[in-house]
Amino acid sequence: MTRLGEIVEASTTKLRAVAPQTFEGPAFGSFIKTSDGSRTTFGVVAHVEHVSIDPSRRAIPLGRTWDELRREQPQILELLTTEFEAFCVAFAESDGALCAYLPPVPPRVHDFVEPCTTEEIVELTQDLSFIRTLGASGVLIVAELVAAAIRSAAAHHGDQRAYLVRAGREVADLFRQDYELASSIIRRIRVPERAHR
Amino acid sequence: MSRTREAFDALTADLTGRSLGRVIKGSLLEGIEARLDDDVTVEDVRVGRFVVVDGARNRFFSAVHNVKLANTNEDVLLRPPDDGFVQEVLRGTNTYATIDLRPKLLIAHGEDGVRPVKTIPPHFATVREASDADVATVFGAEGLTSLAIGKPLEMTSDVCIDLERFVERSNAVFGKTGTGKSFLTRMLLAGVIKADLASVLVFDMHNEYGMWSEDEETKKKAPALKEIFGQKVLIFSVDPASSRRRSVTPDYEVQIALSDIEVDDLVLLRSELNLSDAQVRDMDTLSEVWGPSWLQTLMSHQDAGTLTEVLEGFHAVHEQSVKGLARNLKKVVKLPFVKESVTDHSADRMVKALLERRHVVIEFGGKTDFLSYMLVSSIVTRRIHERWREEKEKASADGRIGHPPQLVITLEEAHKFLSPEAAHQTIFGTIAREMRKYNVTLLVVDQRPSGIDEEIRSQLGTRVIGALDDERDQGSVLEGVPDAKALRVLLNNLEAKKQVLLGGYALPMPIVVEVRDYYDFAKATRRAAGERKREIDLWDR
Ligand SMILES: Nc1ncnc2c1ncn2[C@@H]1O[C@H](COP(=O)(O)OP(=O)(O)O)[C@@H](O)[C@H]1O
Ligand SMILES: [Mg+2]
Repeated sequence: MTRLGEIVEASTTKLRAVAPQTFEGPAFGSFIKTSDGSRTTFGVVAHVEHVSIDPSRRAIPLGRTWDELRREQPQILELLTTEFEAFCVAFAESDGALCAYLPPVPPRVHDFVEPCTTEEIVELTQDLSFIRTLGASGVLIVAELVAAAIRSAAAHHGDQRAYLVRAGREVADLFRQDYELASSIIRRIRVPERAHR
Repeated sequence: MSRTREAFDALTADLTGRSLGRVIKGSLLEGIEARLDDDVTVEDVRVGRFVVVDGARNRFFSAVHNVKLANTNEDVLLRPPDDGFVQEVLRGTNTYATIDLRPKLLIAHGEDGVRPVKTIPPHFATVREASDADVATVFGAEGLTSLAIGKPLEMTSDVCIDLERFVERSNAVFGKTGTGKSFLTRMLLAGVIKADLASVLVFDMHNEYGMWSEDEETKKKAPALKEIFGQKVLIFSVDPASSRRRSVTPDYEVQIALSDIEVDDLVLLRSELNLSDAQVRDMDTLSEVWGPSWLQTLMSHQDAGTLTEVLEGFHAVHEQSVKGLARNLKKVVKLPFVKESVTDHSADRMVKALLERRHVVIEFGGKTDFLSYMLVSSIVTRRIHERWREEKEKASADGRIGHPPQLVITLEEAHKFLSPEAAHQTIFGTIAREMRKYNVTLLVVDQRPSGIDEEIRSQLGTRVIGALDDERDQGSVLEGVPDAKALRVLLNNLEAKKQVLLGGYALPMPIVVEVRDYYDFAKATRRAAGERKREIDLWDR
């Protein structure tokens, strides 16, 4: 089991977790899950940051390469941490099928976060409702987030292009009042056309 | 009842036709609008395509009359995406395509056969390409009295013309030169002959209906009516030398006696003969005074130089005018088939054959000689007019039905005979207007339909229309037809060859067809006619 992190804050809409190794967090837009033993909550990584452990003390420039730092001041890594946030998009009770909407209660703090398997991602993203959930998350970078999630979902689908077209249409439909936003997402998920067609 | 229900269920269960879209708007008056499915490329939907709409209780039949682009969002139009992927994504969400339909017929649950529409399909009813079974349901199967004329665009089952209805009214084949009018007319006539539904008379201006015609494209010899039906068809030649040059042996030579020529025949030829109004009046006067031999009398006085003396006794005529008339009429008298007297009256012989349910093709010299063409046609048609009336009146008095036989008179270059001026003065106008009750109808073949009198056009039962370039022609062929505007779009989209819009009395609904191959048709028909044992390799050459 790959452990991506441990939850340090959670709500019904999002969770915050700390990666076990500094600089080894999950990718932006990737699908993660966490289980409290009976319920599994699924989410999409919406923010990743490397910060100082002590919020009152920022890292200061040291003028050395990482090779030199590892050799001369290995303790420096201990002062840094990698944290990430994920938006909840779905959950599953231990016996039940997947529900593509927010969980009734937040995930539990100190539970671990793991990456989703391909099967889970396919199941989770087949019906595209995650796009609506993310679209409603209110983050400033909604275009980037939705596009990243769609790209990472598409990588797990057999016919990537067909999936991207379908997802793109969902985006166009969701943001039909905001052509600018819709088209900026669609441009971010586009498959480059073959040189001559 | 249950059998027809089964038939309906079988038909509507047949979902082989690809789904095209769903109904989004509609009115009985203005037709149906359907949104194309996102996976259907606009370019795949051709105007004229035969489609069905599945309502809850009816299946509607229609042609595609228009294809349109629409958008839900004005911003897209401001900055159209240039990227293929983005275009594809926006298709169906921001942009979409619609098609216009005009359902004409429907088949309802538990009902026998199709009937005209009195309602429209509901919202979101599926529109799909018609299947072959649909075409067969609407347009029937080929049979003794129904002729398979071609196939709807991109389909494999036949569209059939009901020949029994076809021969009941005057009909037309229109289209610019080279669209296949003459080939198609030959097919129609062969269908009528084979079904024995009418006697057929053809004024064959360009020598295409008798033995064979030269195919201008392939240079093959295309078999014609006599080649297909043998002795049931008689060829009369106006120019036997030309017939022989084409190695056709006519059954008879056409001979016209001067006394056969009436004023009306010459009135039809007014512009060919340059006759003034005064000269037309002069002809009336002369024929009143001199009787049936007026023309002969006039010409002999002219030749003998005695015209001045003779005309002294006339009040109403002007000597110079009559002399001019005689000079102009010289052209007629000098025609090789016009004789002082004849042993064999061609017109009577033709009428006799036609009354005996045989068929007559009159060949002309091949040159574009309207004088001969119109003169002979007029004389023969007048004779037919007289005889058919007589026969019909006698038959009615005797309570005999089915006599005289139905007769189809085929006129190439019909606008020459049916122009607004000619239509009111000549025999052809009379036939087009009123001979239906005497069992005579016209089959008008023409490339300039706008030159034909409007009233006569409105009498046409079935129209077969090929591509037309001229605006006036396009407008005139559909004048008075229901839904003319919608049909005009179909007409404008016809390909220049072998595609026609069919509609009218002998068809359940208007439809665009790809005309079937004439050679296959001729081969099959001749085999069926079974007249000839000798296999001539004309066909495959
Ligand atoms: N049904 C057909 N089957 C085969 N060839 C055809 C058919 N209709 C038209 N053609 C071709 O098109 C040419 C023109 O047709 P034609 O009937 O003479 O046209 P139109 O009478 O309209 O001027 C013919 O010589 C022939 O090559
Ligand atoms: Mg022709």
